[in-house]
Amino acid sequence: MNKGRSFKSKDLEKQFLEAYDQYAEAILRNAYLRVNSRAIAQDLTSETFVKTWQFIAGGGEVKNFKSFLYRVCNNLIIDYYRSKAKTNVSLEDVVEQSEPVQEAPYKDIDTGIAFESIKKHLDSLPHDYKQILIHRYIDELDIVEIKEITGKSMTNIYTIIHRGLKMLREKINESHT
Amino acid sequence: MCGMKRKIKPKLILKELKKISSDENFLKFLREGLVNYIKTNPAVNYEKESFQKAPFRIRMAPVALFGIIAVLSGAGTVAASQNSLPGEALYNIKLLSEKARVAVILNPKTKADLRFALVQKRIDEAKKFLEKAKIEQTARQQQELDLSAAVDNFNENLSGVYGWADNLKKKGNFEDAIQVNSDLKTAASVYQQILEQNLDGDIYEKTSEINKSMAIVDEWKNKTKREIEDINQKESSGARLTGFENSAQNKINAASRKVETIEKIFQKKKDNLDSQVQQLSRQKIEDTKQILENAQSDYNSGNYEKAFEKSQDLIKNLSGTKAFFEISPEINYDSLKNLWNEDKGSGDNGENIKIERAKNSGKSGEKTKPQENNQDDKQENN
Repeated sequence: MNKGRSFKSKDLEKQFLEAYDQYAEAILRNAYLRVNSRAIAQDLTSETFVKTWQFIAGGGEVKNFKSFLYRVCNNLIIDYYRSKAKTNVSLEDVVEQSEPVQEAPYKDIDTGIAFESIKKHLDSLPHDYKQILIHRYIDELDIVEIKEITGKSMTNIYTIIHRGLKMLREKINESHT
Repeated sequence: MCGMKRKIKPKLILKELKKISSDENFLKFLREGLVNYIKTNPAVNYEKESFQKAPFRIRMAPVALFGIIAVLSGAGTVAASQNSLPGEALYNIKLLSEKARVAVILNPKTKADLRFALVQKRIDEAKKFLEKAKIEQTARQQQELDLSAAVDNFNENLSGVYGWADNLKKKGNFEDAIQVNSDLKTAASVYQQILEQNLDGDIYEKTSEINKSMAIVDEWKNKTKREIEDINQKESSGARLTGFENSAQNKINAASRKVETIEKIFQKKKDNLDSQVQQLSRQKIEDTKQILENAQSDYNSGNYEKAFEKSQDLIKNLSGTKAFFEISPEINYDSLKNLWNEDKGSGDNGENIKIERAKNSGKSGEKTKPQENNQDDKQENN
């Protein structure tokens, strides 16, 4: 099988595995924060990388692995929610449920707010807001990268970040008064 | 903490979520899986421009993965092997490529789904192979070798799905575990039936390995049934305190989905069924709908516990039906009756359904004797 592999394909493999080492953890975390289930997040992460490799192996060119991987993961998450809305697969009625954040008892020293509570507030935001805030402050992507991934305009992204932070502040204030 | 109100900084708070621990073991296993996957599906330097613009947006379903891998992998050998049957040159490549697909998926549920799809594939393959084998009597040795590999592969996938059922059980999803297990047993018996009807000699011996798998599945099922009884009792008493209303409604919804699914499958398949089977199926669907209505009226009158139990029993009684209709090459009256009369789950579900039927038809004494031991008898005879 490997006999026919050219220098170019070995190079592609190397680049792909380097991208894996660099971004897999962030992709997994992103997926977990957005679907609220470790098992599903793991599944989405593995599919993200398998599909990325299939694209490369089929002759596709990836210029920026970081935004490409996030985009694939994003599409898979959208598909996941769509298929969840339709429901019913072969091993029926196996319902994945939202898991509590494992780090729940941990309370951050700087903010004094528990992980569970932060996550709850984030989950209560509209879907777009949650996605963009995660990309901006947890994945630490810049606005241009978020634009590439989401397809939204930069002005729109700035507005969502501003409003999202405001909503989050209000929600945290409410729950702590 | 010190009486002063702390100023909330959402950006800072959000950044705290970065501290969520990553699953290092998972990432390590996934990397290993990807390295293997890359080896079996290397990049090909396509000369033609058109190939470089491959369609990108892909669905998540593992079923779609089958097609995509088949199209994109290797230099077309794997793709060409996908329709091969035991005895053909590419059959072993097909088994290998399937193994690679299973290896790269790490989520247990997706993996179990894929394995179950492969189990169904082996069944379809066996049917096609045996039809073809009747015509061509050549290359018998190679056919036997490959068929032996196919039975091994079938068993391997069954134990993979079995592992998933066991995991579900460990997580407390007893009902789902039983459901998976019923589908599994149905698949195994169908495969065995196909092989037994058509084979003799060494290959026939090979089917005894499926018997072993079925024995393990049975043993596990009986043990789980006992455990599920305990859990159900605890659940019922615990649920009385809180949230029973919701649990009952959820159960009714789940049962209703199940009945709908079975009805849809029946409508799809009914033209190929004989009149006796059609009548039995219609009766069953009517009975289950009646039970569902009773459960709903129990719910409406506030008897949540009863509504919960009725719906639960209904779900258990119908488990394996979907797989049976989908997989079974020939659906006959006796096997269908056995499937529905078989004791599933907490033990009294089949009985409940029969009692409901007797009530509805006004024949309180009517009772159909469940043929629970038929399967075991059959195995003993073999």
